Formats: sequence, C-alpha cells, structure tokens
Amino acid sequence: MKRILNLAAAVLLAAAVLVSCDPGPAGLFALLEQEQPLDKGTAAFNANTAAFVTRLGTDYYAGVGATLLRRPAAGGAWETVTDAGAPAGSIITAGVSDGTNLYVSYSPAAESIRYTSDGTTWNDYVVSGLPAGEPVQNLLYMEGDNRLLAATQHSTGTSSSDYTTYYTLASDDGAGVFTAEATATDQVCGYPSSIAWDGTNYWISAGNTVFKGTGPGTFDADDTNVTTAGFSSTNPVLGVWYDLANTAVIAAATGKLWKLNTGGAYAASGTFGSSTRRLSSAIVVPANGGLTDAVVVGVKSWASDSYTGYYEYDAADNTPFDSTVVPNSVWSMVADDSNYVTTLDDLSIEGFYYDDTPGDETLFARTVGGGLWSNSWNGTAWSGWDRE
Amino acid sequence: MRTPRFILAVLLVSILSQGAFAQAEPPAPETPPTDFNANPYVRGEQTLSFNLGAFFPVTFVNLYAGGTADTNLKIGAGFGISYSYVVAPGFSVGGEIEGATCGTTAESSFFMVPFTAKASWYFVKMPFEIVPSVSAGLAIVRYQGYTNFNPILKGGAAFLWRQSSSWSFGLDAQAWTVWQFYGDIPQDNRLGIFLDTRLTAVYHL
Repeated sequence: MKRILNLAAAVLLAAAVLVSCDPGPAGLFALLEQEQPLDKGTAAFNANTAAFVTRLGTDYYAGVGATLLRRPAAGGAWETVTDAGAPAGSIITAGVSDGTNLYVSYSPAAESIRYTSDGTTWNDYVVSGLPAGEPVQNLLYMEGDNRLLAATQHSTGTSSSDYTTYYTLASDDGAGVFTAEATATDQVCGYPSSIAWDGTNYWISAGNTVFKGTGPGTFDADDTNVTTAGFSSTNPVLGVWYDLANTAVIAAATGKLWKLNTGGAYAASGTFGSSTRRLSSAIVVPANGGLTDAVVVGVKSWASDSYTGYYEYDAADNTPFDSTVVPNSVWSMVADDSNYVTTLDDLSIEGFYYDDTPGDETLFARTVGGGLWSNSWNGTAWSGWDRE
Repeated sequence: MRTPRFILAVLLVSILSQGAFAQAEPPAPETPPTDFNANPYVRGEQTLSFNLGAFFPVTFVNLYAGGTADTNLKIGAGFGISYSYVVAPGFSVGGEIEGATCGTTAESSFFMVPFTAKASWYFVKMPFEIVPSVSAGLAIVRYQGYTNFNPILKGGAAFLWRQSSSWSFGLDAQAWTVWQFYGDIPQDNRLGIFLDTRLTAVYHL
C-alpha cells in the first residue's frame, strides 16, 4: 500500500514538474471559447476563396466564383450585385478600383473586363489591344498613372511534360484601349499577382520573376536581380508592397522577404518559418501596442509545406532591411494571440486588402477556401479577426 | 521544444505507471472470499477496469471575471483503464489513465489525457455493486497544437453487475473538473467541467 502511494506521488510529482512547460500563447479553454463556426458569416464566402475585395465609393465589393457582392463600408450585410452582361460560365478573376470605377475581369471568357461606377450599371471595358482569345487572369492598378494593367494568359501543350503557360501584360490608355507591353508579352512566368509603386517604379510579382517599369510601355523583367535572388518556379515571389514610411518595396517570396532595389541586388530578410515556406503577400498597417506600423506577411499552404496563417513584425525593421528582419514570436500586432490562434492561424492566406479611409480602416484577409475575414482599426487598436 | 517535453512526459509517466503495476504484488488475501454473495472487496483484492463511452463537455467557468461560457466542443468519446487495490474492506486506492477527444465548433480537435490517483468505495448487494470514487491528478490537454498540463479532480460512481467471480459490467459516470491557471495571463484562468459516461468492464485479478 505504502509503495503504491509513493509511486502515485512520484507520478504526480513528475507531472507537476512538467506543468512548467510553455502553455502556448493563451489559455486553451480561453482559446476554445473564441472559436467560431465555419459557417458563420456570409454563405457565399464560406469555404470559398474571394478573388478580390476592394472599395468603390462608400461600399466594399468582393468577387467569389461568379458572384459579385457588396456591403456598406460603414457596416452591414453583403448583398449580391447583379451584372446581367457578365460572361456566362465564367468566374471572376480580379477586381480593382481607381476610385471612380470598379473593374472586374472574367475567365475563361476572352478579353473580358466589365466596369461600373455605381454597382448598378455595368458595361464592357475592353475596346481593343488585348491578345485575341486570351482570358484576363488579373487586373493591376497603376496608382501613379491611374491606369490598368491586364494580365492575360494562354497555354500550350496537353500534359504536364509539355504544358507551358504564357502571360502578357497590357497597359490601358484610360478608355479601354490596351497596348501589350513589348517586353512583357508571352512571358513564361508565374501569375502576375500584385503590383507596388514606389513613386517612380512599379514592381510586379510574377512567380519566377519580377517585372519593373516606370509606366505604360516600360515594363520588363528585372532579370539580373531576379537571378541573383534565385526566384524560380520552385522558389517563387508571390506578392509586393511598398512601405511608404520606410521607403522599401517588400516582396513576399519563398522562406523570406526581399527588399527590391533599383540600384543594386535585392536584400534578403532572415528566414520566415522555413526555407520552403511560401509567403503569399505582405502589407503594412497600423499596429497595436504602441508600434507605429506592422508588416503582416501571409503564408500560403502548398503541397510540400502545409503551414498557414501569417507572420508579423515591426515595420520600423524595414529601415535598414537586412537578414535581421524575422517574424515576431507572438501575434499581437493586429490581433491578440487568442484571436489569431482561433481564426487565421489554420487558414492559408491568398492576400490582404487594407482600406485606409479614415473612420473605416479595415484590413481584409482573403483565405484559400476559408472565407473572407476582416479586422477593424479604431485609431488605437484592432478589433480582432472576424468572418465577413 | 513542446513536442520533446510532451514525449518525455508521456514516457516518464508510463514508466512510473508500469513500475506501479510491477511492484504492486498483492499479499495473500486476509479473508479469501468463499461466498459469492459476500462483499468480495477485502484487503488484497485487485481490479482492472476497462472503460469506453461518451464524453460530454458542460461549460467553462471564468475564474478571473466570473461567469460561464460555451465550450465550443462537441460530444466526444472517452476511454480509459484503471487499477485498484483494496486496502481495507470496501475501500481501494489505485490509478487511472484515460483519454477523451472531441471535435470543436471550427472542426478542429481537442484531446485530454488525465493521469489520476483514485480512491473507491464498494457497496455490494450481490449481484449489484455501487462504487463511488474520487480521483485527482494531472491532465494533458492538447488543442491547436499546444499542450498544457492541468490539475484535474473527478468524482462519480459506477453501477456494476457482478457477472462472475472474475468480471463485473456496468456504467460509470464521472464529473471532471479541469483547472487552468496562468500566472502571466490570469484573464485566461478557467475551470472546465465535463461529464464522462462510460460502459465499464471490471476484471477481478
């Protein structure tokens, strides 16, 4: 009997010692209380991937599948927007706003971009210039020139061994007349996913390359620096963002971030998670806790690396940008730990959109098959992530 | 760092538990049960219990701000094995290793593995037995890839039918109270209350 009691005490003592283990970022029961059902929010978004979310006037617009939705920026429910002229059988690939109009592209319909100024009246935008028969896979807005860039795509081959995808960038004259960028036509590159403007140059992330240009007619692959950085189809660059306060163009690539320079080689950060982690996007937004800004870096799960969620770090680290830039160890800059763990931690991030309109500051996260999420800034602190 | 500690904890507790079984050689019963209808739980009697059943999350009590909250856990499954050694007529002590798993509202998963010391009392009216018990120990709690070790107190009773001198079968219902205290984040202090209901088979060694 005494022996058994001694052993029981030993078991409890051993376990008690182990209580000192790191309990995680927050109380586990407290985390559980914050869980949200997967079907919370707008049904059209749940378990889907929004192609875009952007603002036009006083409304946010989003596209998912073939459905366009909008809701007031001040709050309210998402409602379906009807465009009777949208190409049948196509899905929305992108949507951008220039502040006056919303432009929405479709695929596999060829050369299809629809636009509206009020969400009610829609028209075809393309007059000419896009490669014949090719669908528009993305729309990029050139902020400085107030012009669109359309990325069209065609493929050759029928099997994985001979299948090749080509992209063409075509710039708009402001009235639907496009001109293919001479040195960015039929490029064997990745999907031209995002654009950043540093006041002089535009930078476009496109998988195995980065396109650079000062305006329409100037875009070209930044080959030397891309080669030095080692971007490739297996080491892709997936997103770019311009940090105005720290004058740094930040590219989200594989395993690390890069600062894209015009005067020399790109500069690399430290490792984000692992050398194979695909960082889908980066964005600079206000931060909790007395910091000025935070850089939020989305993680996109892929076959060999199933990590999800996002990283964050103090945007001041972008000056200077070097290998000391690494993720913060907690997730408190745009949410609290509990909110992060129970929301985006397990979701693959496709991209972010931030509406910086005073009074409406909202950060959206488009997840891969996990819906559309938002987080509001009240001037002092973030509300935490919640489903749209 | 969490995974090696977790593995170390499981190995350590398993080794110690095996030690308990290996060294718990029972002395000869003082009064061997010769009458099947007599209370067989005399000093030296040993039992092994095997349990399987349903696990019901009840509520989380906020120990910092007060109030209760939904657990966001679905009804799950529980299982376990326990050993008891009768140290006085109608009273035993022993140990129990259990497991409980539940799905969550967001389709995640939740596990608890308590290791407890157990005291049981036996009230027998052959062929039926009522066995109230209390247990105390630590529970390994795992959720979202994080692992905690939390104190656990349990109380309840088993209602058994003595099928033979070797086996009893019945139902066991236990209330679990799992205590989570965090010195650095006291606002996350919680008491988790669960109800464990199981079919149980007791083998009399």
